[in-house]
Amino acid sequence: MTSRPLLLIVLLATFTAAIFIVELTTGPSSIDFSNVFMNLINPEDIDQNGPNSGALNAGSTSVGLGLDSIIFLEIRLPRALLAVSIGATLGLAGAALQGLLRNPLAGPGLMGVSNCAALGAVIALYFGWSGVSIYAVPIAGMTGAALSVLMIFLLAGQNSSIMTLLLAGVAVNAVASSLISLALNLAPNPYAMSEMVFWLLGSIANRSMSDFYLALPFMLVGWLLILTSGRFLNALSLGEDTAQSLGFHLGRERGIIISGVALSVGAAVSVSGNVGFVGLLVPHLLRPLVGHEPGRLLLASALGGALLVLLADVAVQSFTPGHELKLGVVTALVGGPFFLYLIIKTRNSLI
Amino acid sequence: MKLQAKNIELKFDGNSVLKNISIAIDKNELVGLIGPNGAGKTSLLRVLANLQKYDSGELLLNEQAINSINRKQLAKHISYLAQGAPAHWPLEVYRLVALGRLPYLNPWSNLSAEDNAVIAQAMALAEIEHLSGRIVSTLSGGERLRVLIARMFATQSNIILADEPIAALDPYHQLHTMELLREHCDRGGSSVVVLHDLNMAARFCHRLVLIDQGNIAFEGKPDCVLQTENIAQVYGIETQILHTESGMTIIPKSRTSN
Amino acid sequence: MLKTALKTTALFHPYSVLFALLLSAPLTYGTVVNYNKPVRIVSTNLCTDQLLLMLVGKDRIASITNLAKQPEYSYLWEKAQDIPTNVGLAEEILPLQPDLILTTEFSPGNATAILMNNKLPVEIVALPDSFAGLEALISRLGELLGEQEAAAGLITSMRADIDSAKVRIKNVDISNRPTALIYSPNGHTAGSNTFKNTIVTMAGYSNIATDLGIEYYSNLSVEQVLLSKPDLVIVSESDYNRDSLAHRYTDHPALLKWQGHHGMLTIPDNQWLCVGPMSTEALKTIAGTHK
Repeated sequence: MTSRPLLLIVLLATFTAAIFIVELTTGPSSIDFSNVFMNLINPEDIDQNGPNSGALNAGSTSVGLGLDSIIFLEIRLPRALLAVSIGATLGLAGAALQGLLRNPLAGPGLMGVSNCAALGAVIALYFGWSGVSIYAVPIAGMTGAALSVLMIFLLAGQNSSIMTLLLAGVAVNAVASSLISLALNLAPNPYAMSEMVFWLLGSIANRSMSDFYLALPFMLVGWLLILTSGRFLNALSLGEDTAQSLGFHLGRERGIIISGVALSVGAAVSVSGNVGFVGLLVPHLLRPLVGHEPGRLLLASALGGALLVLLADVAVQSFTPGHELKLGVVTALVGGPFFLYLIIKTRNSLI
Repeated sequence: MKLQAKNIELKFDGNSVLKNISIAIDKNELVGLIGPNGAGKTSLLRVLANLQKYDSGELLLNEQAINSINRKQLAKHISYLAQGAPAHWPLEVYRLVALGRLPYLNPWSNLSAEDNAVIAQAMALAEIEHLSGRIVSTLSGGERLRVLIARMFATQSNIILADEPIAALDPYHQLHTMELLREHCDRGGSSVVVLHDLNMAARFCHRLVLIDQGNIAFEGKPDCVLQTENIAQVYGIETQILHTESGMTIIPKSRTSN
Repeated sequence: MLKTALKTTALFHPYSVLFALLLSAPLTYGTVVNYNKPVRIVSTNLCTDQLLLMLVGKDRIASITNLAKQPEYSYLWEKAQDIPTNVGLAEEILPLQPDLILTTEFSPGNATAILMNNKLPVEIVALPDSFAGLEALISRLGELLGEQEAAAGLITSMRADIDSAKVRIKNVDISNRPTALIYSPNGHTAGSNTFKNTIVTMAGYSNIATDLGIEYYSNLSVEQVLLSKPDLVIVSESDYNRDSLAHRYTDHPALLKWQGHHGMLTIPDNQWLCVGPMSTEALKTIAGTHK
C-alpha cells in the first residue's frame, strides 16, 4: 500500500537525475567532459596572457581545458540547476494551491501568482532598486506573489467554486500583465521594452551561478514551508471544519502555505520570468498516481515539475539552436492543449 | 469525559443566535439536538466542537477550559462530522479512515503498526472492512457516511459531534448509522447529534434537547420532551404520538393554525 | 549687388567707399547670414544631431532629437543638455520657424512632406555607411551651415586618426589576422554589411560574426561567444543605467572570467552607433590593442 507512492518518487527522481545530466551536456556545441573533470580535480591557472592583453591567443591545450570548465561551471551548470529548482517550485506551488483551494484548476500561472511576481521583479529591476540591494529583485518578486495569493483567497475564498476561482485568476492575471507592460514602458532603461517577452514567457538562458544563489535560499525556505503542510492538506479534504477539529489551526496553516508559495514562486520568477502551465499540468497528471492524496502529491509534483522544465529546456536548446525559443513557449505548447483537454473532459462539472 | 457549555451567548450581525444556553454531555450519553430550521442547532454544535467563537460564556472539558487545551490534544477527545459529510478528493477508503490518526502524527512520521491496528478496528466497528480498497466517491451515501464515522472511530475520540448525519440516507442506512453512534456511547463514549428526524431521535437518543430560537425550550428523556404540546409550541405542527413495542412514533398531522 | 551699388555712387573716393562699406556692412552681413548661415537649425535624426553639434554653436540650434541627450545613444550628450528637443513631429517643428531642417529619408510619418509644403528649407540627408561617405556628408553640411572651415577641420582630424590607426596595425599579418567579436546588451552582434564590421576590419581584426555567416545584426548566446574563441571581445555598450536584463549577456561571469584573461575591450556604443567623426575614437582604441 505504501510502496506504490514510494516507487513513483524513486522513478521520478531517477528520471530527473538522468535528464539533468542530459541538460548539462546540451548546448550549442559539445564540450569535452574529460577536460572538465580533470580541471576540477587539478585546477590550473588559466591566466596565460595577463589581464586584458588583447590580441593574440594561440589555442593551446591548457587554454582549452579552462574554456570547457568555464562553460560547464558558469553557463551549463547554473542553467541546469535553475531548471530543476524552478520546475520543482512551480510543481510544488501548483500542488499546494490545488490542495489549499481544493480545486484541480488552481496553479501559480492560472491564478496570476507568477505574473504578479514578475511585476514585482520588473519594478525592482527597471527602476534601479537592485542598486540598493541585490536582494531587491527577488524580494519584490516575493511580495508580488504574496499579494496575489492573498487576493485570490479574498476573491475566491472558502467557496472556491471553479467559476469564481478561474475568474479571480483571470482578473489578477490581466491586471498584472498590463501593469508589467506599463512598467516596462515607463522604465528609464532603453532595453526595458524589448525584455517584455522574457518576463511574460520565461527563460533560463544565459543565467549565472549568482542568479541561482540569489534565489536558492528563498526557494528552499518556501519548499520547506509547503512540504510541512502535507498533513494539513490531507485533513482539508474533509472540509475546513473537520480539518480544524483534527487539530489544525486554519489561519496559521493557510498562512504557512501562502508564505511558502509566495517565497518560492516569487524568487523563482524573479530569475526566470513567467514559465507557465507547469504548476497546473504536473499535479494534475500525477494526482491519480498518488491516490489523490494532496499530501503525497507535494513531493511528487516537485520532482515532476523539475523533470518537465528540464525536458522543456533540453527541447528549447535542441530544436532551434539558432533562434532559441523561450522556455514558456514550449511549456505552453504542451500545457495549453492539455488545459483545453481538461476543460472538455470536466465540462459538465464546471458550473 | 464531560463536555460542558455554560451560559453561551452568540450573536451574528447583531442577531442573537444562542441566548444563554447551558448544556452538558457525559459518558454513555447520546444526546439529540432537535428543533426547527434556524433555531441555532448547528451553531450550538459548532460551539461545542470549538469551531465557533462565542460572545460570552464558558466551554469546559472535564472542568478544564477548552481554550486552555492544545488543539491537537483536543482533537483526540472531540471529533466533528460536518453537515453534508464532505470528502473532497476521491481518496481510497483506507486512506480516508487513516486521516483520523492525524492528531497523533507529526509532520514527518508515517503510520505505525499501532495506527494501522486502530484503523482496522475502526473499520470493523463501522462495518466497512469490505470497502477498504474502494474509492470513496464511488460509494453510496450510506456507505460514505459510515466511512466518515470510521474516521472518527480511528481518532478514538470520546466525544462525537455530528451535524445531521442521516439527512440524505435511506431507512436502512439511517438505522445503521444511529446504531453505530449508539454503540459508541454504550462503549463509554458520548455523542451529540443534530437531527431533523424526530422518530430516530426518539428511538436512539438517551436525552433530547429541543431548541427554539436560540433557547433551550425543553430538555430531558425523549418521551418527556416529545409531547404534542411541546412540539406544537416549538415546531408549529399538530402531531399524533404513538407508543409501540418498537418505540415512540411521532406522526405530523397538520400545521397549527395561528 | 555690392559692385552695382558702388558704381552708382557719385563719391568714388576710397574713404567714402570705405565709409559706405562700413555702413552697409551690417546690412550686407545680415543678408549673408540669412542666405548662407542658418541660425535656427532643426535636426530630426540622432546622427545628424552629432554632426550639427560639432559644426555650429548651440545658439544656432533650434532643436535636436531627444535621443541626443541620452548617453546610451549620443556621443555629444553633454553638449546637448540645454538644447530643446523634438521627436520629429511636424507640429513641433513648424512653430520654431527654422531656416534649415536636417532630416533623413527614414523620418517617421510624413513630417517631411508637411514641412516642405510649408515652404521650409528641408535637407534630406542620406546617412553614410563608410568614412568616405562621411567625408562627403561633412563637406555638404559645411556648405549648408556656412561652416566650411570647421568641416574641413573635422575631415582633416578624421584622416589623421585613421592614419594613426594604420600605423598601429602595420605589424599585423593581414593574411592571418587575430579574430574579434562585437557583443552588445541582449547578445547582439554585428556581422557583414555593418559599419562596426568596417571599423573592426580597418583596425586589423577579422570579425568572427562574418565567418559565422551573420549579415547585418544577430544574437549570440554567451556560450556561442566563448566557443567561437575570439582573440578579442569588443563589448559595445554604455556604462550608464545597467538596470536591465540586457546587460546579463555582456556582464556574464563566464565571459568576464574567460575573456578577462584573453582579451576584452569596452567601446562606448555611442562612438560607433552613428557613422560620425567620433567613430575614429573606436577605430583608434581597437587598433591600439595589437601588441
